Amino acid sequence: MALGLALGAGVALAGLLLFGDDDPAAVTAAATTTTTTAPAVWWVDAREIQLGPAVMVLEGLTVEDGEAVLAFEIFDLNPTSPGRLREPTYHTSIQFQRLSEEAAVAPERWTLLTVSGEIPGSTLSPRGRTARFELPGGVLPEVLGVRLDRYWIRLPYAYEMALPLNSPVYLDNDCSVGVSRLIEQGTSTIVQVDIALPGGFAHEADPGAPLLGVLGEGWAFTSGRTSTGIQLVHEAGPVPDPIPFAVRAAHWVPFDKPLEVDAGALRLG
Amino acid sequence: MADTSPPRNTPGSPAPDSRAPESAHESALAELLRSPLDEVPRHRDRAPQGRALSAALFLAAALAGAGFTVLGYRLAADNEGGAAASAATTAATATTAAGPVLPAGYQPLGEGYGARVERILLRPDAAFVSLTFAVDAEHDPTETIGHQGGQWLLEFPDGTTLQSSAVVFDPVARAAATILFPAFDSDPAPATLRLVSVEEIHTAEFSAAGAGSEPALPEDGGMSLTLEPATFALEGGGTLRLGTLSLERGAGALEWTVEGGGGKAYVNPTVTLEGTTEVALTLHDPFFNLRNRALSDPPPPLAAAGRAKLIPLNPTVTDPGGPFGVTLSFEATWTTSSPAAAVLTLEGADVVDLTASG
Repeated sequence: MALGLALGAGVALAGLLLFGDDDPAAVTAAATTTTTTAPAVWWVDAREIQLGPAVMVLEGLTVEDGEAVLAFEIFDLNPTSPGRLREPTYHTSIQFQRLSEEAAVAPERWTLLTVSGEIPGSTLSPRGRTARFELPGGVLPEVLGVRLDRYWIRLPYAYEMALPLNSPVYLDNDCSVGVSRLIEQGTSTIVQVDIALPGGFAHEADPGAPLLGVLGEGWAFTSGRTSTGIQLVHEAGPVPDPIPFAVRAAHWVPFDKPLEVDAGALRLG
Repeated sequence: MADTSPPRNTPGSPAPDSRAPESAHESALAELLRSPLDEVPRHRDRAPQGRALSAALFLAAALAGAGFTVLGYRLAADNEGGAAASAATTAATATTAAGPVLPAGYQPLGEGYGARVERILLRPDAAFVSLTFAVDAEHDPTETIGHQGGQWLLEFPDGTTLQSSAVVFDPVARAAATILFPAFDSDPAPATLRLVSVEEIHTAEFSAAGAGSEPALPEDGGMSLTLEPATFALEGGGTLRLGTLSLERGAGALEWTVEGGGGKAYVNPTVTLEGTTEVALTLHDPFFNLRNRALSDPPPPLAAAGRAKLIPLNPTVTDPGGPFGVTLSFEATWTTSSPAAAVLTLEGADVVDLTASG
C-alpha cells in the first residue's frame, strides 16, 4: 500500500516536474505526504464465520425424519507447525484417517433459534459436518438463527510430573491419573495406572489422549494403553514413590463461547 | 473461497455434499487412493486471490498517491507555498497504513500470521498458556510457516514477570501451542504475554564410526568406544560433541554435549553393530512402548547435554558375534534464536484453575 502510494506520488511528481509550473517548494512538500489508512477488506468470504483458528461455512438446513439437519464445512486458518506426523502403520492407519477428517476446531453443541423457541442440537464427533436438532412434533418452525454453544480445539501439552502411589493427580479439567493397583510378584511389581478422561470428544480412544511415559531406572515393561490406563513392571527393588512420568497430550478442550448466526447465513432452501 | 452459488437443496431433501464424487464407485476408489495424511486445503486459490487483491490495492494506492500529490501541488499553487504544503501534509498523514487483516482477537506474531490466547491451565506444579494461530488475509495457511517456539515473558500489572520454560507443539493439535511457566497464584486475566525472542528449528543427519573392528561384545558388563568424528557443527547453534558410546548385550548409551553459544540440542541415534549378525540399536525414549499409539513426533525437548539410551530394534537379536564394526547415524535437532517483539493479551481466555486439587 505505502509503496503504491509512493509510486503514484512519484509518477505524479515526475509529471508535475516535467509539465507543471516551476514552484519547487510546493511540489516537494506535497510529495512527502503519501500515507493513508488501508481500506477495510473482508478477511474472509462474507459467508465464512470465524471460529478460532478456522472458518465455518453453513451449507444448508434441511429436515430429515423429524430432525433438522444443519450441514456445515470448516476450513483451517492455521499456519504450519513444527514436528511431523508419523508414517501410518497397520496399528495407526485408522487413527490417521480419523485425524485427517478433523479440522482444527470441532463444533459440538448448537441451538436452533426459532419463533417457537430454542431447539438444542449436537454434532456427534470432531469429524462430523452436520448438527442435528430433534424437532418437537417433527415440524420445523420459522428459523431466526442458530447459535453454536460449544466448540472444541485440540491443545498440545508436554511436561514431566510425579505421581504419588496413594493419590491421583489432576492433569486437566476432569482428567486425572492415579495408581490403582500394585501387584507384588516374585522379583518384580506390576503397577497399574488409571487414566480418567472427561468423555465427550476427549475420550480414551482419541489419538490425542494423554500418553504417559515412565521415567527412571528399573522399569522393565510398559504395556500399551489399555481401556483404563497403562500397566508397568518394575524389577529393581521397591517401586519409587512418587513415580516420575513424562506426559504428552494433544486432546480436545471445550470452549463454551456462544456464537450466534442469523438466519441469513443458514441458506434456507 | 467457498462456493457462492445459490443453495439447491430444499427442506426435506438431503443436504448437498460438495465433497461427494460423481458416483459411488468413484467415491470408493477415491477413498482407497486417498492418503490418511491428506488434508483438505482451506482454499487452493487463496494465494492468487490475495495477489489479485494486493495488485488492486497497489493500483488504488498508486492512484491515490498521484491524486494526493497533484492535489497538494494544486493547493500549493493556489495559495502561498509554505502554508499550502502544510495543509496537504496534515490531510494525508492523519492515519497510518494498517497491516493485513487478522481474524478477530488475533494479534500479530510472525510473518503472515497472528496468535490468540485461548486457555490458561493453572496447576500446583506449573502454568500452561495455550495459543492458537491463524494466518492473515494475504497468506495461505498451507504455505505459511508458523511459530516454532521462543522466549516468552508473562508480565503482571504489579511488575512481576515470569519467564517461560518451554513452548510445546504437537502436529496432532495443529493450530495450537502451549507455553509452560512456573506455577503462580495471581489472576492471569490482566497479565500480558510478551515474546522477546523467536526460535527456528533445524535438523540434520550425521554419522560416525568406531575406530575399527571390535573383538566381541563382552558376556558380562559392557565396553566403551569412541567414535570418529567426534564433533559436528550445528549451524548457528554451537558444536555437538559425542562422548563415549557404551555397549552391552541388548543395550547401549551415547553421551553428547553442545559446546559454545549456550546451544541446546537433541540427538536421536541409531547404532549398527555389524559382525556375523547385524544388530540395530535404537533410541529408547519414555514413549517408546507407546510408539504404535502416538501419531506424531513433536519437536523434541532440547538440552545442553544428554545421554541417549539405546535398545535393540529386534529384542531377539542382541549379539552381533565378533569381530564387529560400529556405525552411528543420528539426527540432531537444534534451534537458532533471534530477537522478537510481540505482545498478546490474556483477557478473555478461559482459565482452568486446578491449584487447589493437589
